[in-house]
Amino acid sequence: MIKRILKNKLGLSGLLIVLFMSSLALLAPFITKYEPTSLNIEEALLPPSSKHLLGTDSLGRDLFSRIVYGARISLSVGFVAVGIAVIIGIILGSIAGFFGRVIDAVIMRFTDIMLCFPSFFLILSLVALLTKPSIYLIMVIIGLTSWMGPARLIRAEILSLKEENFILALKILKIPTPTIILKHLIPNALSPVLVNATLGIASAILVESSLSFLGLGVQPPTSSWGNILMEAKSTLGVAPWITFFPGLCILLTVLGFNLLGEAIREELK
Amino acid sequence: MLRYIIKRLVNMVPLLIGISFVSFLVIHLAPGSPTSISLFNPKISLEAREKLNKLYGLDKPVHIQYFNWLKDILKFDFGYSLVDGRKVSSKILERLPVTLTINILSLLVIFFTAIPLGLYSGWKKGSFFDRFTTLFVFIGFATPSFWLALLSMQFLGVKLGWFPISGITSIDFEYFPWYKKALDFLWHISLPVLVASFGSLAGLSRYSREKFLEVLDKEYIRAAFAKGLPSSQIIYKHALKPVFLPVITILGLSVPGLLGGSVIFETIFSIPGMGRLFYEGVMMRDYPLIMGLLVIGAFLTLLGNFLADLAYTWADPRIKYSR
Amino acid sequence: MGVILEVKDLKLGFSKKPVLEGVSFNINKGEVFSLVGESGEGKTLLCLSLTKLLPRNTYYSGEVNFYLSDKKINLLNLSGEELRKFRGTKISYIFQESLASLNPFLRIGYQIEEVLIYHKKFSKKPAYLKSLELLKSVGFRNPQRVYLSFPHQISGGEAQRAMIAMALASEPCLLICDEPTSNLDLTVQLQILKLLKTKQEELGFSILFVTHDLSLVEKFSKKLAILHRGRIIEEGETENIFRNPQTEYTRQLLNSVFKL
Repeated sequence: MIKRILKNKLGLSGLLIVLFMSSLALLAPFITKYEPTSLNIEEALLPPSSKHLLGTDSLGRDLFSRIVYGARISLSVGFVAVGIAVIIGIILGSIAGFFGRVIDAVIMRFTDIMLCFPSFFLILSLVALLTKPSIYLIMVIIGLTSWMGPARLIRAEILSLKEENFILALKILKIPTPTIILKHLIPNALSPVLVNATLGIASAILVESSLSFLGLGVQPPTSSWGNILMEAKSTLGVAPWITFFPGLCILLTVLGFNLLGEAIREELK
Repeated sequence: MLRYIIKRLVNMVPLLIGISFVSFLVIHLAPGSPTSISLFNPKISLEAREKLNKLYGLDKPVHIQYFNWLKDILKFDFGYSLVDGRKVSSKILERLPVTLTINILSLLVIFFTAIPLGLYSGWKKGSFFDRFTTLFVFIGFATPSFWLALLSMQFLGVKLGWFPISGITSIDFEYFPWYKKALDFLWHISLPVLVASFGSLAGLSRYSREKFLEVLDKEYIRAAFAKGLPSSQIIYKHALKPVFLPVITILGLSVPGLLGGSVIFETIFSIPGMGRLFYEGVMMRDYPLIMGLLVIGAFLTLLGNFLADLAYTWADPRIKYSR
Repeated sequence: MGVILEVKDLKLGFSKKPVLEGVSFNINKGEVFSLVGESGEGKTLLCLSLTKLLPRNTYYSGEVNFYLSDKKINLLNLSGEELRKFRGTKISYIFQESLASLNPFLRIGYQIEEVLIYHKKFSKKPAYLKSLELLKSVGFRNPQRVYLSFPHQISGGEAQRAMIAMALASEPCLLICDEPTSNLDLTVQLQILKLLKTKQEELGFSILFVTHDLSLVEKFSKKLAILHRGRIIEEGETENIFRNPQTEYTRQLLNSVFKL
């Protein structure tokens, strides 16, 4: 399947962007000259130069390293949050789909109720409950508010797979239920979730950066693309590069995952 | 059709109850009681805290608290703000109109821009316009709204001075005649509406394009061509309605996204709306306010869905005149 | 009797798959001509191609000559706008899926009036009256009800009758019927065929009747052609072909009909 995605131009660009950003994040310590948190007031607000690739911020910190380390934050939040959402979704969706009737109705009602809330409102409310904002809790919060999509998809797939002949055969052979669910149903139900998950990573990155921008996410001095932009607000006129580059990174990364997700969707059709 | 509407309304009731339950639950999951913020202020004595607890009914068992709260919200009483003691409902009510106006305007902008864009892309499938629009749409989808807000603030607001960048009124607003007041307001919310619509525009135009192409493949369109009807008649009379209907449903579904987004741009553009109220509430840990806004937000989402559903039911003859 | 439609060496296909490899036949004025072929042989594509109603990636070559008051016009050479004048006026269609060929969002009456308004320049009231008349002439006892109905409110057979009314609205010279009865119940099938035959004798237009069902052809049309593997393998008077099939394939088709 990966080969076919490579043939699709847009999907290929998406994949390349994702790989590029991921490598930036992974290789962060090796490609940056400066520490993302080391201050140097004398070198504050410098435009991009050979010394500071992307310039410096108001406290003299090298923007390039802040962005590269910020990539670590954004990408890890994206992957972990979606991971959590998918796991919860798989659990609830497969239980609902497999056992049907009352259990299904209850779980689906619950899903419907959760879907009524604007997700950002829910996320903010949960963040408000935290006495100390922590990046791990933020991953969990985002995961706790995005499982509804995967749950519905898994449920739908399982509902249709349930009636397939090979499942009925397994039942006749008295294979235990958990094995049927775990080994046979779920793996076959995963493909639509793949698309949802890829697009979900993009959306999780946007949510994390929005939260950090509002000061409710990753706290300075740890850099996240969102909180760099928060600090950039005040220097917008004099140092536009501080606003421009982190935003561009968010855009590119989100674009990358979106293109990749769409390409996977086209493939699965 | 009336039966269908009543059925839908009846179905909403358990959802509304569920919403109130979840909203309540979310807040009361907080480590420590909702008045723990007052812990930060050492001047508040233990007595005063106990009094506060009693005032907010926090000394009662949780389920009693829930039922009391539920009873109250049915009377539109969301309690009192922890920040300034005013009624939560008044605070929300004074901010609601602005947010609603901006969001409705955004929906209109999206409707009148995204659909023609999507339809034209579909009609000219594979052309330069189509491919350019697709790329533009993907980028729009990926643009963080707060970044767009900052950039538009800087370029359209500060540098070019075309639009104001904060508030909803100019300084001498009070002295304006009514029509100037209306224009001034619209001028102030132009940038927010632009930012709010931008992301959703992308999604909807792509969706319209897909649906349009789907409809063009249908047999009744082929039959219309076989009848020798002019293209304009085929597009406007035959193909539009089947595209519009699902699009309206999607519009209804974009309400929660717009509400969530309003938190961001209202904060950036200093718009006194519901979104910014939510942000302030979160910063100050004003739990009654947060709960109230959660419920209102979910209610508006349900309302948006319901209205979209209603429009669909009314417009689709297969449902309107069901056997 | 003159020729109304002359198809010469028509080739059609998609980029990877040829469908018609050179089809030729003639239809005379006032004649009922059947084209028989099994599913997937490209019958629908052939019907559509006669007025260039082809999907995007199809290629075509050959001639489709329409004879209009002694003038020979190759339809395949005309532009979209010029072709529009033929479709729905001189050449009309009825399709296999009657209900699917009607726009579910518009009333039946409106869909009939369209033809009158756009081609014959009728105004609203005359169009309304004429469409009621047309509905009556295809056998609806209550044309008003059908006029106001939406497609989902009528049956398949009724829809096909309405399609016939629509097709005849502009008094065509040639009616192309693409498997008009295949989706209908047996009794309704015969009704529709009877209606077509009556109308044809009354108004004198030609019919190109495309079907996979040989048994329908015997009583219905005088001329017949068999389509197989993208070519016409046999053509002639119905009686002759039934009595004396020239090719193995035709014999097989006939056998399968009469065995039942």
